Amino acid sequence: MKALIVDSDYIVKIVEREDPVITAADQVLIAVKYAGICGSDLHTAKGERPAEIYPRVPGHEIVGTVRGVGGGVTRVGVGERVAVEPIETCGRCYACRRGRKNVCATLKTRGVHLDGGMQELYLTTQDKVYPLPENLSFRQAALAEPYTIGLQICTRARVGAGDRVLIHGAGPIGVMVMDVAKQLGAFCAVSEIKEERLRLARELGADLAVNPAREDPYEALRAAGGRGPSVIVDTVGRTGIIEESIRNLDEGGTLLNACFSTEAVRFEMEPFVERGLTVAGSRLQSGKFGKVTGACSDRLKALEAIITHEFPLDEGAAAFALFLEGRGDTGKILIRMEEINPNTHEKAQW
Amino acid sequence: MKQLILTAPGRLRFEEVEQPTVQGPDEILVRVACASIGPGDLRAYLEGPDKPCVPGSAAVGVVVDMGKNLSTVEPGDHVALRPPDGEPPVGAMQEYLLLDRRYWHKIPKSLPFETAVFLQDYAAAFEALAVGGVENRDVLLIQSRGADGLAMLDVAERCGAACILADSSSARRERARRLGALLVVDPENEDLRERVTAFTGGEGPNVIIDPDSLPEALRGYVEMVSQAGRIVLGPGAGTAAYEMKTVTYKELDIVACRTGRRSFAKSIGYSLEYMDRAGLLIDESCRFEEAARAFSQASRRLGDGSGTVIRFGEGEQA
Repeated sequence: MKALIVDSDYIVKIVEREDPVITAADQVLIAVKYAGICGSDLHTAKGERPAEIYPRVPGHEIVGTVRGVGGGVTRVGVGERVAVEPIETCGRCYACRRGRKNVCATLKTRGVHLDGGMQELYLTTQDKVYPLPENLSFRQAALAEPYTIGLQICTRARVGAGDRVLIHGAGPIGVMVMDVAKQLGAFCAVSEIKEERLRLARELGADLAVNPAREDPYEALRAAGGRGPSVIVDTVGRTGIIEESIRNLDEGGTLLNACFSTEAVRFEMEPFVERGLTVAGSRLQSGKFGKVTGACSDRLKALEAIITHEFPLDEGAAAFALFLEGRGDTGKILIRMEEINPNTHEKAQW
Repeated sequence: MKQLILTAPGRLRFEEVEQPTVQGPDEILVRVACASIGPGDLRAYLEGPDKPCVPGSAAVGVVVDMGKNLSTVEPGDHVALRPPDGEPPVGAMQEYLLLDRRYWHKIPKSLPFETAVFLQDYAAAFEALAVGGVENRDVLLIQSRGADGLAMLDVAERCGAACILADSSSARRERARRLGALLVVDPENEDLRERVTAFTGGEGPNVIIDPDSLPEALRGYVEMVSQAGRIVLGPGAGTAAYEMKTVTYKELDIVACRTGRRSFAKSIGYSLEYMDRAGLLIDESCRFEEAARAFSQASRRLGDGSGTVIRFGEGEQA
C-alpha cells in the first residue's frame, strides 16, 4: 500500500509499505477514504516533534470503509463506512478513570506517537470505529474529528444557552466551536484578521464577525447586547490576545485555552478572584465521536463549505505546502485515497 | 460596653462606648461570645489601618433583642456572623453587635462557640472543594496558612480525599496530621514539589487549593498538578502567570473561589457532624481582655492569624 510519511529529514513523501494485517480479535482494518490535515500535522511536518517519532505517517482525521475485522469484532462489519477515533489510552490512570482519556498519562495520538491515517490501509481496534449514517458523505464525515474538538471545547467551557461566546480565530476549529456553541443556544462572535475566513464564519452562522485589526471585538460584542463575553475561546495562541481576553471576561466567565504556546500568560489575581473567573484548557476530545457521527451528523453536512481543497494521496506534499502558506482562503484540506483493489489483501487471514 | 480599636501598626486599645439598642424592624442585637482574627485584621495590625477601626470579621453570639419584623429568632438563640457579599467587614471585637438580620445566621445551641467561630472557614472549605470538584480518592494539596486550610483538610479527609497539607507552621502541621493529612510539608524548608511528586508516584496532586493565593505560586501549581487537574485560587493580589501549553496539554482548570458565602448555610447544616474536630483549627484562644497580646502573638506566628479565637464573657461560660 501507499503511505504519506514525514521522513527523518522532515520531508513529506509517498512511500510503499507492507499492508497491515489483522493479528488480534478486536482489530478492524480500514481502507481509508479521506484524512484531513490539521495544524498538529503541520507541527509534525515541520519537524517540531521529538526526533524519535520520525518517520511518521501523519493524519488523525480519518474516515473510510471497513475492509476486514478480527474474530471478536461485533461493532462493525466489512463494507461499513466509519469514522475513526485517533487516540490510544491506558484506561487506568487518573484522567482515564475520570472519563478524561484525552489527557491520559500515557496518551498516544495517531499521526503523532503512532502512525496516522494518511495511508491506504489503517489498522485499529473496534472501540475506535464509529459507523457513519447513510446520508453522510465521506467528505462531510471527514469533518467529524474536528467537530469533536469543537464539542470538547464547548463542553470544557460549559457553554450553554444564553452564553455570549467570543472565539479568537475562524480557522476550521474556530468555526467548529462556533457551530457547536450556536447549537447549544449561545450568541457567538468571531474575531479573525483574515477576511475570507471572516466571511465564511458569517455565512456559516456567526452572530457577529469582527476583524480585530479594524474593530475592538469586546466593544463590538458589548454594543450588540450590552454585556461582555461569558466565554472566550482562544484558537490563535498569542499571549497578548489571551491576557486581553481575561481582562474582558464577564463576571463568572471562562477563558478557554486550546493552543500550545510555551509563553507565559499573565493576569491580575485580585480581579480574577473577585470576578469569579475560570481559565480552562481543552485538548483533543473524550467520548464525543458517538454524538458527532450520530446526533450531530447534520451539522457536518452544514459545514461542508469549510473544506476548500482536496488532494489525492500522491500529491500529499503539495497539500502540506499549501497548508503551510496559511492563506486566508485555505480552510480544511483533505487527502483523498483512491480505491484500491481488495484482492491485493487476500493474504490477510481474518 | 467595651470595644477593641486598632489605631496604628501594632497599636490596640479598649474603648468604652454606649451599648447599641435595636431601632430598625430588621435589626438583631447580639452579645458576642467569640470572635476570631481574620487575615485582613492581621494585615491591618501589621501595616496599620486606613483609619482607626474595630477588628474581627468572624463572630458568634447570643441574641439579646430584635426588631419587630423578626419572628424566626428569639432572645437566647445562638447566631453566627456572615456579612453579605459586597459589604465591608464588620468589626466583631466588641461586646455587643447590632446588625441587620442579613448578617446573622442561626446556629445549633449545642455547637460550642469556640469552634462555631470557624463556620466561615468551613463554608470556605465546602466552597473550595465544590469548585475544585474534589472527589473520593482524589489527591488534594492544600496550601495552608491558617484555619481555613485546616478546615479544608478536615472536610476533604471526610470526603475520602487523600490530603497533603503544606504549612510553614509546625504546630499546624502537627494538628494537620491529627486531622488525617497523609503528608505534611514545610514549604519554607522542604522542596514542596519534590515531596508531593514523590508521594503521588510522579502523577502530581489532582487538585491544589490555595485559599489566600500567592500569585507567584501559580506557575508551580500548573507544573505540579496532575493531568485533568484543578487549581482553586482564593482571594489574593499581584500578577500571576501560567504556561499556556501546560494548561492545554493537561486540560487543567484554574478556578477562582471568591468566598464561602453560598456554602455558609451548608456549613451550619453539617456543623454538628463536621465540627467535632474544629478545635484543632485553634492556634490560640484567649479572653477579650487579652486581645492585644493575642494580636501580638498572632503576628509573630507563621500564617494569617485566623486560628486565634477571642472569647468574651458568654464564650467563657459556654
